Amino acid sequence: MAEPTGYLSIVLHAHLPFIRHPEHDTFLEENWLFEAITDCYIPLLDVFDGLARDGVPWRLTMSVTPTLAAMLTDDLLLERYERHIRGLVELAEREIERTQFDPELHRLAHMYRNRFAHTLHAFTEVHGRNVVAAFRRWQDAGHLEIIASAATHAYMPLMEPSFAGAGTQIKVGIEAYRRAFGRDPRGFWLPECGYTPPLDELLAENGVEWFMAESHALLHAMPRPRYGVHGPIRCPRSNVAVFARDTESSKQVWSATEGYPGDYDYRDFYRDIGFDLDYEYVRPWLKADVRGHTGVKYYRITGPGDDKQLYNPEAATAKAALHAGNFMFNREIQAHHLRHSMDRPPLVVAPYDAELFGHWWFEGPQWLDFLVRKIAYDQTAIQLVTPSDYLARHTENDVAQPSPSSWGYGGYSEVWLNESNDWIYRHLHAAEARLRSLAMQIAEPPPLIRRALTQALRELLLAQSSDWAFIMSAGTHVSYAVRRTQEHLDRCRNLCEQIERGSVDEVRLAEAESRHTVFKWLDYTVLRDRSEVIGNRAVYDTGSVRLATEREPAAAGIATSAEAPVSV
Amino acid sequence: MPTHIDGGRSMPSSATTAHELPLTYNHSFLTLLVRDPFCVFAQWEVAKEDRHARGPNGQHSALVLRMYDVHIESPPDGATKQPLPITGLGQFIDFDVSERGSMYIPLAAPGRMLISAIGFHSSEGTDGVAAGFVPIVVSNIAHMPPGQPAAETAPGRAWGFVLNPGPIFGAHPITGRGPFGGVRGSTSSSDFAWK
Repeated sequence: MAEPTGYLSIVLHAHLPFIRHPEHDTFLEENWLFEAITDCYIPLLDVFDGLARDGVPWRLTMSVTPTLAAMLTDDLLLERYERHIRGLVELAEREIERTQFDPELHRLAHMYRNRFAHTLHAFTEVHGRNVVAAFRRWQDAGHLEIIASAATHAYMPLMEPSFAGAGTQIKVGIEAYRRAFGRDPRGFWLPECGYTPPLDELLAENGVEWFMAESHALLHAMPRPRYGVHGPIRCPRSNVAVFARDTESSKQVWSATEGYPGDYDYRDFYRDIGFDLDYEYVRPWLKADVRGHTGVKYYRITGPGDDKQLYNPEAATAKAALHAGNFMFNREIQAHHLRHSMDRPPLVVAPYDAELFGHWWFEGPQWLDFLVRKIAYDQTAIQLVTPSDYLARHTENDVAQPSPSSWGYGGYSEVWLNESNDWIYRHLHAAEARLRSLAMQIAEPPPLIRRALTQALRELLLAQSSDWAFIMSAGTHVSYAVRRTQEHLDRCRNLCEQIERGSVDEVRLAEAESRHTVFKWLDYTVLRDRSEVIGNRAVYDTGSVRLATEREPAAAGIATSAEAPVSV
Repeated sequence: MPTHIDGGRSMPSSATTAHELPLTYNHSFLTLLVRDPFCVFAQWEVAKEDRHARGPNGQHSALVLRMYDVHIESPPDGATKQPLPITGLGQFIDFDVSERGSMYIPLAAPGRMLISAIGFHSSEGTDGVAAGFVPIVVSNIAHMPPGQPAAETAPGRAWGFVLNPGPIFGAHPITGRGPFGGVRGSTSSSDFAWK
């Protein structure tokens, strides 16, 4: 194959926190999963199916996080989703009836009925209620590279400073990947693109070849990488490759002012009949009887004001095609421009939340479909690759130490560490230390203690999810995020106390196990795994530190956070 | 002499609802978490027995969080097994703190390595403790991000052109998370200066 002028790597990060509430018949936050299946995952699979059906060559990268994969294979949630989508078909039928005297609305109601009916059919019949297996099929067919992520999407730069907890998140995440996708992952999505040393070393220890990072992980790397973000670097200690987000291509999709999703022809996300119509009429389709999104939205963005015009699907599709062409054209220009100052084809890495496509940006899957087809047939300058493809073609890359960074606001840890959420860390760290200490002490526990240790680990992992800290910071669903954090930490602490006493409440343990079914295969012994990286780091950080004092005290035995001896 | 600054805050009320979390773990710890190149978050607890163990006057002295700059420009290869050659012994800032709390410490320290200790000032040496700062608990080392491109490019390499990042907004379409608004520049200033 001839060398192109440049490469484009589109990375879709699919993630939702683990939300499952069997104790309630319906639960508001479970809707996040249902909306994502309807709006994003099934439409993306439709795009992939269509590309394959038409013989279009394509290479895309995607993460499916362990918590999302667990929910997508959970019988209770799948049953509830099927009930949900059948309800939407019913709602659309009601809308067809209600709008029969308004031809334009009536047409849109039909669009939704057809769409929901198709989704129901695709979910139950085409994919056999197994969306994870559907994605796996495209990886096995050589079109999609699925990458791994941390167990519960923990923001790892703020984990307990020895990074032993980060090591556990990575190990469990990779094991979840193996079980979902039947192979070892090559790439890894660091949750929130949160990087700090020694995460690259922990990834290397677990066989990971590359990970995604934010732009300034490379732009601020030491020494300065010669290709900026347009080629990966390799970390000096681990040799793991790092790919970083290209800001220009990101801006075209994410920007509030310049991004495609804000085009006036696209469907307006906020105008939903769940808010607009009579409460009693829409109530059967609302979660917890609270007004909210049903998924039936009749208006286009139209402009900045509240006066909205009806959605025109054909005009929106035409605009998606136009935007795909524009995106491709800009990548061609970018590739030609960069190629002059590089000794190899530049790489543009464009990572997006998968849930952007179809949910907030209704036409996103169409845009992606057009883009892949146009790249295949309308130009020759750029080529779709995955990061692994790039590494196979370009084995020599700059060696540099990436900068700590994230893709959150501010570019570092501010989103997950501020006055709204900083209280969680002392508890998370204490729980981590206590449970790990117990796990190290108990080598051959009786079955009930083993179950308790494992459930305590499950609770700890769930408490570590970055989503809770984010939600506290964002100010929406705060009480839920606080409650989840407290619940998991409290349950972890209770279990630790029971284990220490040697007396486990089996009834309550079974109740906890049945409520949070994530990682059913989990075993506490993962906490006992030795990490050379972490062992070395503990020595480096605290073991031999000589404290600066005005006059050095003679006494020894000062306590340290890492419980390592300090000579003073 | 160090600068003394009142610092820290007590445990927030948000931590206490239906699922009560402990107010204290009866265990001394001091953790530094890096928020950005210009700010580090410290959280700590000093157990009573640790404080008493440091000397007969310990329980009567005000606790101090001392932040050190222990940056070394180029750790030698294989430094993971080597003692840190601390060169910044004279550079520290002191904060008056309570036995349990947390604080954000704005610092002009991008790219630096920081470590802190909580202890107290002993005016007279007794029972094996010399006069001076008596540490009780030591933190992890915080590696501050550089906050700007490195001055150094690998020898013999050309600098590849990088398109200028523009303002980006975005949030996860369902949960709200998403990429941030561009690379943060060196806009933050420090409230404190190293001694």
